Parts: sequence; C-alpha cells; structure tokens
Amino acid sequence: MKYFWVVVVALGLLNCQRKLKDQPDLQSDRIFVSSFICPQDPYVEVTLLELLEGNKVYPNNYYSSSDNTHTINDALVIISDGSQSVVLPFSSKHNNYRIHKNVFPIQEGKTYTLEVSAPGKRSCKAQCTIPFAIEAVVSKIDTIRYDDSGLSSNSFVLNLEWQDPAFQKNYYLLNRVENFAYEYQYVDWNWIKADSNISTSSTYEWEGLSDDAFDGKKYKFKSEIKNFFSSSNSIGYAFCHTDEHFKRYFDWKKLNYYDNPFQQPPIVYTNVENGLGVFSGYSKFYIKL
Amino acid sequence: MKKLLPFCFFIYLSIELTAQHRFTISGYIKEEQSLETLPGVNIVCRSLQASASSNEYGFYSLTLQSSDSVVVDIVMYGYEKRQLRVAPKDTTLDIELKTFEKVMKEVVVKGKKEETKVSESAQMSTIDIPVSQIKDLPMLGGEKDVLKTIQLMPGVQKGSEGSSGVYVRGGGPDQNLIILDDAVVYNSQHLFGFFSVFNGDALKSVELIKGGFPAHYGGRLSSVINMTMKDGNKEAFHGEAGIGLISSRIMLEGPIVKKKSSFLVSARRTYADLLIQPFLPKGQKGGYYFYDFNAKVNYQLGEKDKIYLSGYFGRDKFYAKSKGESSRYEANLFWGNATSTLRWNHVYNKKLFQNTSLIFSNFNFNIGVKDKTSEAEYSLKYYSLIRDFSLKSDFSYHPSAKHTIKLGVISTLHTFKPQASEFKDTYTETSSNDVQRYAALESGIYVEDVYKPHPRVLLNGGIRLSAYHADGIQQWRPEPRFTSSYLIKENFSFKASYAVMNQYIHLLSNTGIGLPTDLWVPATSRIVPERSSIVAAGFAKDFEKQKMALTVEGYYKDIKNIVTYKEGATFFNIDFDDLEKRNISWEDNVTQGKSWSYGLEVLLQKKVGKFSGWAGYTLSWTYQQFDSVNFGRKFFARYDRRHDISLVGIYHISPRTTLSAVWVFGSGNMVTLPTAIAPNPGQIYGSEFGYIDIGYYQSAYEARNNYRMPAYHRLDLGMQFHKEKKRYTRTWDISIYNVYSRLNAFFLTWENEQYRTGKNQFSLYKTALFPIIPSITYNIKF
Repeated sequence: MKYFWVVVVALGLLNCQRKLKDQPDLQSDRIFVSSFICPQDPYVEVTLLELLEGNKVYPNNYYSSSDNTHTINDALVIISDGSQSVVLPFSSKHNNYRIHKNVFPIQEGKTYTLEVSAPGKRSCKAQCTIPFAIEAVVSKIDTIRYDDSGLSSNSFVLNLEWQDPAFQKNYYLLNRVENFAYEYQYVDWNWIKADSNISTSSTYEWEGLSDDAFDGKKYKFKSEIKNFFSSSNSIGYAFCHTDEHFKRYFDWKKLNYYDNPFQQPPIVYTNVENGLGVFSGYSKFYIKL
Repeated sequence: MKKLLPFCFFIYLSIELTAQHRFTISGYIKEEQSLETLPGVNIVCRSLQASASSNEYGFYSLTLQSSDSVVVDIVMYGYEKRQLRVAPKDTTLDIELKTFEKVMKEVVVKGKKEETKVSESAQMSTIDIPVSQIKDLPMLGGEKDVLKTIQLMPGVQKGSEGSSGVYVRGGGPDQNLIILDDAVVYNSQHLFGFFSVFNGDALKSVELIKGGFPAHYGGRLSSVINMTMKDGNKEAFHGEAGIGLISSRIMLEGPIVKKKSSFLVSARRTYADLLIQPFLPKGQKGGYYFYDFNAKVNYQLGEKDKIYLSGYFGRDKFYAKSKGESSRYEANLFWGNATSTLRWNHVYNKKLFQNTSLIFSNFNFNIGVKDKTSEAEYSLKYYSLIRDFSLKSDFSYHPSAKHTIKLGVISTLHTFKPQASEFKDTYTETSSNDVQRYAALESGIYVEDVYKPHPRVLLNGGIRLSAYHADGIQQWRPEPRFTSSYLIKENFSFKASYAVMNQYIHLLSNTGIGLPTDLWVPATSRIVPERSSIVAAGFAKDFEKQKMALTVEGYYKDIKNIVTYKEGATFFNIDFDDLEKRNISWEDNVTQGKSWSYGLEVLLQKKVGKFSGWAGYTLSWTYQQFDSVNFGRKFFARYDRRHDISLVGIYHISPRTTLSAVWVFGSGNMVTLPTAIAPNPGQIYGSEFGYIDIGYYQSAYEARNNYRMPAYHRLDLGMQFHKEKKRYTRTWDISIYNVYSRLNAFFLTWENEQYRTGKNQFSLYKTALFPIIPSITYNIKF
C-alpha cells in the first residue's frame, strides 16, 4: 500500500505517453569523428562512429559497451599536412584508423586536414593546428596527510610553473597518467584540482585552463592529488598544450556529463564540417614523478 | 524632485486661471448592496463630451463647464447603467450601482447593462477581466484561476500544459509585475504552477496591462497584473464556500461598524495529503498540500479619510516523516508568499486625492532534511528568500475634464538571500552556515497626465525616473511613457503607445516552468539591469448594437540584458563547497543577452448579454540571443508561439443555469532536442582523453530550442446549476477539462523501445499530463 500512489501516478504518466506520428530526422548519415593528434604519441588515430538512425531496429546488443558494431570500418580516411597526405588504414584490433608516426609524423605548428568518406554517409572534413609543447617545471612536491571520512591517507601537492606564450590563445590540461598492466592508460580527471590561492583565473579540472588572465606571463600552478595508486608501474603527468577545439569539445563533454534534467542541454561542439565530433591537436610534455 | 514641483505648480496654476464657470462633482462609486468601492467606473457627460473614471479606490472627480444642470451616465461592466442630473455647482456625490445579478432578480431593466467603450479610452493593451467571468469558466480540477483566465487573452501565452505561468508578448514569467493590493507577489503559483495563488473569492478586480504602461507602474518589463481585494461588505454579513475535488475554500465578509468599517477573510486548502494518510504504513507520514489565507479590514475615519489593512499568506509544502524505535527522519520542501499592505486614502478637496501605502512582501523557499538516531543527528537546511519593504504615495489631481494628473513616489528596500545553507553532523562533528545576502534600494518617481485636447484626441503622457542602489552601484534611468488615441469616427479609434521599462531584479530559471527553486537575484555591478522598450499601434472598434468590441494591435518589443544560466549551469548541480573554495558566486553561473519579439493581436469581446465571451488570436515571434549560449547564435524563445487562438463562451440560459466553453489552440513550444544520437566515443581505447563513461550513447544537441512541439489544443466545458434556498444560494459547478482527451505534449524524449515493444530502436515520444478530467464543485453563497 506504501507505493499505491506512486504506482497510480506512474501508470497515469505511462498511459499518457505516445509515440509521435511525425518522427524528426536524426541526420544519421553523418559521421561522428573522434581524433586527438599529438607529436609525442606513437600513432595518429582516428575513430569513426555511426550515428543512430531513428526508428531503425538494431540488434539487441548494439549499444553494449563491449560491442563495437557502431564503429565505421569501411571509410576512406585521409590526413594531410598541406604537402603530403596519407590514407589511414583500419585496425580491427584497435577499432580505429591508425598509422605510426614514422610513416606520417605530426609536427608542432603544422596544420592538418582530415577528410573522411564512407559508403552511405556524408563526406566530412576537419582541420586543426598542433600547438607547440611547453615545458613546465616542477618547482616542488609536497606530501601531506589528509583525513577522508576518518581514514588517513597521503596526498601529493605538485607545484608547477611555466611561461605562457604571449598574444595567442593558449589552453592547458594536466593529466595524471598511470601505466597499468592494461593496454590503455588510465586517467581519472576528477582527482586533479586546483588550489584557489594560486590559480587566479579559472578552475582547473578536466575542462582545462585558458590563459585569459595570464597571457604572456609566467604561471604558477598547484595541484593536489589524493588517493595515489601505489599499484601502478609508473606515474607521472602529461602537461598538455591544446588547441581551442580540444578545449571546447571537452567543455561540452563536461556539461553533458551531468545529464541533469533541470539544466538546458549543452550544445555540442564540433569542428567537423558535415559531421560531428572533433579533430584536434595538442602537444605534451611528460613530467615523471 | 525640486525641479518637478515648480513644473507641477505651473500646470496647476495655468489650469486654475482658465477654470471659470466650472463646477466639480466628486465622490466614491460603490456597489449598492455591499458598499464596496468600485474602480474603473466611467462617469460620462455626453452633452459636454467630458468623462472621468473612478480610481483604484473608487474615487472620482469630474469638472464640467456649464451654467445649466447636466446629465451624467455612470457605466460599469456588470452593473446597471445609471443616469443622474447634476446641478451646476460643486457637489460631493457618492453613487451606488446595482449589480447585474440584482437587476436580473428584480427584472427591472433589460438591455441597460453597458460597458466602457474601448474606442473612447486612451489606454491600449489593457484588459479588465471581470472576476464574475473567471468564476463562470471551466478550469482544471474545478479550481477557478485568475492567471489561467489571463492566459486566454491574446498576447499572453501559458508556459506548458496545466501551468498558470504567464508569458506576455515574449516576456518571461519574472517580467510580470503581479500586485495584490499594491504588494508584489513574487511567486504566483501553487503545485509547480498548476494553480495560481489567487483565490477568486477575495478579489474585486483584475487588470492586465501588456504595453503602453502608465508611468505609475514600474519595475518589470512585460506586463502588469493588478489585483485588488474586496473591501468586505459594509451592510450585512455574507459568505461563500465551496467543496471541490482538489481543495475547499471559504470566504466571509461583513460590517464591523455598519457603513463605516468592514472585514473580509478567505481561506483555501487542498486535502490530498489527508486522504492518503490512511494508506501510509504506521510510523510514516507524508504528502503535499497548499493553502492560502487572505484578510482585509477597512475603516472610514471621516468623509475624507479611509484606512485599509490587507494581507495574504500562502504555503506549498511537501513533507515526509518516519519514526523508528531509535531513529527519526524528516524531510520537507516548502515555499510561499506573505504580503501585507497598510493604506491610507485622503481626499484633500474635490479634485485632489492621495493614497499612501506601507507594503511588505516576502517569498521564501526551503528544503530541510533531519535524520536523528540515538548516536547522532544530521541536519541540512537550504533556503532562498526575497523580502521587500516599500513606502509609496500617489496623488491624483483632476483640475478639469481635460486633465487627470497623477504623480507619486515609491521606494522599496529589497533583501535577497539567493542561496543560504546550514549543515550540521554531530557524528563527524562538522557544521557550516553559509548565507549570501544582498540589499538593494529601488525607487521611482513619476508624473503623468491624461489629457483630452480635443473631443477626438486623448493622450496619456508621463515619465518615470527609476533609481537603484546596490552592491556599490547607483543608477538613475528615465522611462518615458506615452499612449494616444484618435477617434476617427464614432466607436472607431486609432491608438498608439510607447513605453520604456527597467527591471532591477531577475529570476534565474532554467526550466522555464516556474519552479519555486528559481532564484530571485538583484542587479549587481556585474549583472546589469534589464531594459525594455515596447511600441504598439492598433485600432479599437465598438459595435454598439451587438454590444461587442474589437481591438487589433501590432507590437514590437526589444529587451536588453535578460539573464539566463550559462549552458550546463543549474541550481541543482552547483557544488556549493566548490563555489566557496573557488570563490565563485551565482553571478559566475549566469550570462546576459537580448530578446526581441513582435506580433499581432486580435480580440473580439462581448461582455454583456445572455451570451458573453471573447475570441482572441495572436500571431507572434520571439527571439533570444546570448553571446555565450548556443555559440552566440539567435534562437527562438521556448515560449515562442506562432499562432495562438482562444475561444471563450459563457451562456446564461436562465438565472438557474450557466453553460461555458473554452477552446484553445496554439503552435507548440520550442524545445531543445538532440539532432543526433551517437554511441559513446568513450570506447576509444588508447586515447588519453576519451575514456569518460557517460553511458552507451550520448545525445548531441546542435542548437537551442531547435524543435517545435506538436500543436496544442483543448476543449473545456462547464455547467453551473444555481438554486436559491431559503438562506443561501447553492451552485453545482461541473467542469470537464480536455473534453476530447487530446494528449498534448508536456515534454518530448527519445526513447529506446526495447522495454516497450522488444525492438531495439529509438523513437521520439511525447508525455502528456492531463487527459480528460471531469470535476465537480459544490458552492454556497449567503
């Protein structure tokens, strides 16, 4: 009896649900591109995803996380730097299009164009310029003990300093990188937080940091890392200098993450003409601890 | 002010010097049975082509120039027309009018019931809504609702299905100045907007102004909804009561000192929580209710002075309580308004009237959780609040039949606590108390003149100077107002108006459906005040024979600095600890932009006769643009509606039976829908930046408000059966909401049909709230 009214209301609402007669077009003939290219990475990688078609019946396991049937594997993917271009082959092992940097190196300061075409899909195109890597100096590492719900643990405070290039928009991202025994690197964005006493311009979480408030100046940054994993083989930071597409795409991802029904849905950022997703560039400087 | 006084004196002097062979009739206009003062009554001397109307307190003053006695007509909707012969000398004359109801009973006169001619009024974009008509219309759950009746007027949109939110000419719900006996009501809705807080039993008059605002109103951009409570019957004790499916209500009024002083009290409460109580397990309590309480007393100190004290108090409350052997849990969510107004009316002489008001208004919203065990106690309280104290004084001066001059001053001290929280945990021995507090002083001074330079021309010009002091900022902003009417031929006039308005307080809302969690915040050094300018022009035509009036108006409204949350920000996902740590306030979560709207409104109205009602049509466009929303691109406002039609009919078959019908049609609201659904690219193993698991797929929204919902339409029917009993009149009121059970979309969602049909496919579904809903209410009046 406790849930009597809840059941009544739920039934009432279900009874008031109807499929719309005129279904809007989901524009599923577009390609979702996901590619972040970096001179320091061993591979140039491009992932292409199929958009879902409204009213189309898919196999039951289509959306499961282990299934990769939504990857487009028959596309023609060409990357060029203005003087030379190369076709990226599909790797069924990695489920993406990739080529080693020895075949097609990515260079700082260069602009790259990605062109993609696939059967039954709209051809799309995107461009990005690779920022120069910036060296960040670790001035100090402190270890402090903190209390988390009655449990004591260690946390590290990393003090970083770098020179921001003047008269241009710069975006930075700091990633903690732990090499596990797995094939991929594990990154937990939420553990990286700024100290408000030092970071004067903006918050510094996984949305990155823009140089609006310190253009052309030396910038000091302090980050506290809790719950340090001791099981990792090695640990370090990747200090990334990213392009604007990177920053804006991840701004959107962060807003979309909450999936809050009380917020206005964030508008997706894309720099892919005739498609969705992002083709962006960054350079990184590794800091080993 | 110093500069204004000589100017006013000059006007006064020049008028007085030319005022020879003149006489003035003045006094109060009242309802015959109750001695309730009547605002908006027209006193017309047709032979001299002069007229005046009673003010909000029923006071009128008409100065005429004649050596012979003259005949004046006293005309008011719902009352018998009266004709009086007045001798050519200064006269104080209180006039009593019989209600139409009384006339019908006595079967004295037929066809004499008249109304003000729209073609003869300077005011445009203004609609008086008779409270009696509100009571005749069918409504959701049988709850008679002022704001839902206002939604049926052209130029006014409702927010969503069942909502009493009011969107006037592209403006948001916070841009309406909703006042009850001079007090601003900040939250006009119960139960998340399904019902308004105004109890029709306690109301005397309702006026909606959509543009061409007179200078005595200020502080909001889009509309004024001015409601006046009844004074209370000065002759005899009377009352009304009703029992409905959702709530019950009672209103009592009567004399305290006969003919001098009276009172009125009214109350309403829902009882769903009491009905479900028996079904809840032992030790548990929970539910929802709302209630309203209105009260008013007045006293006539002499011929020249009157004092009124009125107030409103209302609450919505959700609550849940459970009690175990060693634990106790309580959670509640409540919000509501409280207003109070003390007014003093003083008549200096036959031409000069003053009202002074001391006003209090408060709206607060609270969430509280308390969990107590034998070992520890945890409590969390979150609240937001806006509280006003105002002092205002208004003068109306009637130097001649050609001029009515109003001037006045108002000052309001606002206190805001947009976000306040208290937290205590005895187990971890932690506690916090965080209150954001702002104070702002908003003031205004105005002068306006209704001037009739020619029998065919009527002008209402004025200026308001608004001032605002808060957060280290000080602003003075002039607001010119102008309305004009030109009588092209009898019963047919052309009208035009222009008004500038400023709004210094904003409502932060991202649902647009009027949740109590929407926060009232002040303009600050970072959030500049909103400003609108609206221009309107149109025609007014009276069809005397058919007793109908037609108005056609076009408008263009431009609003600057409207406030909205930044993309992704909302009341519910603001991490307050984080804000404090990073020294971020609500100002960091909002952005400002602009809005513009234009349209055409047509209203054909018949207020008198056995059959009355109106037909309204609106054609409109509303756009918004913010630099940091939707990538700076303009977009349609959520409540942009291309077409909106309302047909309202009330048919008094006999004194015992009334039938009514309402049909509404509107283009759908704009909503933000995904234009693509993609599998989550988080499955990009190998990328440092891809692995953020937010589900198996994600929606891509490519533009704000990019999809128009299906059109909305609905038919409501009402029947009232009245019967005179020995001591009272009883009425059975039957309403059928949404007669043909149209499932109008409340919201749209892309849904995977796997659990519904077994097919793994995505389709767009609409969810409707109200199919056909019949209701019955039993009312008595004594």
